[in-house]
Amino acid sequence: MKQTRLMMGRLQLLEIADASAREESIDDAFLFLEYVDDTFSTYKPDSEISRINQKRLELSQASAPMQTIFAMAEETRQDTDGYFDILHKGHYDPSGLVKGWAILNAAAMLRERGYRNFYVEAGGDIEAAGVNAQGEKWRVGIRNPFNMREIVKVLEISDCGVATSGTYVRGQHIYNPKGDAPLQTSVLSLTVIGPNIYEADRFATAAFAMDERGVSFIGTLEGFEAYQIDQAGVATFTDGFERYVLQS
Amino acid sequence: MSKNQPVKKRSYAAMMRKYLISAFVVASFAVYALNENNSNPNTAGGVAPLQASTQASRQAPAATIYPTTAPEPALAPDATSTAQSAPANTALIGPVAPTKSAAQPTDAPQPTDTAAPPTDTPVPPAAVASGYKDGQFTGDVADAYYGAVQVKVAIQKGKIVNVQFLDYPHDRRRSADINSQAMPWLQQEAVQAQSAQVDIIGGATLTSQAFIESLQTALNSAKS
Repeated sequence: MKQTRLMMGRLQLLEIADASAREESIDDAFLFLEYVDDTFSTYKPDSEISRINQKRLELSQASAPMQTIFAMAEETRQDTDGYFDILHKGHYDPSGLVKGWAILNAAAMLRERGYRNFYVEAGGDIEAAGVNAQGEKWRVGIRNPFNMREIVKVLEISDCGVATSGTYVRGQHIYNPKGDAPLQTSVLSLTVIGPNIYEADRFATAAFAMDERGVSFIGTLEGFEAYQIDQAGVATFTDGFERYVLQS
Repeated sequence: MSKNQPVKKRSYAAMMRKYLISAFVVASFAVYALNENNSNPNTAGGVAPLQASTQASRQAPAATIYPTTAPEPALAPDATSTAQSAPANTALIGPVAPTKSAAQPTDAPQPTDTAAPPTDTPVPPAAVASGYKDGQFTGDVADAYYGAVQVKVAIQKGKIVNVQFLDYPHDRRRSADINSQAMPWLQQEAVQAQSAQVDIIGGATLTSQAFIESLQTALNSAKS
């Protein structure tokens, strides 16, 4: 059973391969993702995070999930030598880990209901559990940052998370012919496989900020692999990455 | 040195006393904590979220905590109650985990709710996949500076089941120039399009305005 939703211009997909799949379970998971979007979207002027940024709400008065996110952001800042930081120009933007956190918890909701085989995908980031309807590991295609209709790698994963930092939007920035600033980065996209989507997402965000050194940084982390694509069309990947690649 | 000896002996005795007292304090705390864990968290009434949080994080060893309360009644479809009750059902991970008492916020008044009237304003989701006719709907061609974008949406039982790109810009890939200076534990290859069937597509996100515009027109025609 599979459903797709559109939220803030991002697609969210959820599929349960278990025979016992119920539509309500999928609806609940989407409602949770919607709640996260309503709460943490910096584009919504009345979201909780926006009210904090507008100084209308003190962090100490914020909801428990908000305080959780801030604590996790601080932890991640320390884990990544400051490369991950939700504070930009006096405003907080925790989107670099909120998505992974939301997906992981939507997955936890499904596990709670007894499902073992499913995936949750939001904005290109994935938590995959168990196997697909054919009883095989979930096959994940990594989108080509040069051409959205193509995939450049096919992974086989189970019980782990795959997050990509760096987007087509970023590519636009790099190729923007009007821009006269020198290129700041040569990395177009960095895909990270981690023990779960929360871990993969936050480290992908931090590693992307490290530019070309990002993939090496991921290589130093136990249980993480990375695949980085630069603007010359060259992919650089960690030693253990190929274990996840579909052997054709 | 020798003058210090007796002082040291006395301090051993003092230390032993300290250890005994400390042990007693720790044991008492442990008994208290166990008792607290066993008692219904609701009896705490207006427990502040953070205090409750530390209690929950003691109870939960794993990184992922998902409150066991049934989400159906709390996660009502209307935006107001969703916004207010969702923290209850929020599955939370991380250092400051939420709590069972935080999991029933409707019982206890939450300072955030009252301090923040704006949450009472229902925020309609950007586009919820419901109320659409079944079928395939093609969106308008939308211009992005890098080319044209057009999507086709497939609706089944009123829900989006697939979004396809009909047109997308050009391939910017250049001839790959493999850098031989790679670090020893990294490998390199030229990226190459793959044709294998996949369950899920991840990677670069689809946030371009052109994509949203084309998708919106497709969904509009699914409605009318």
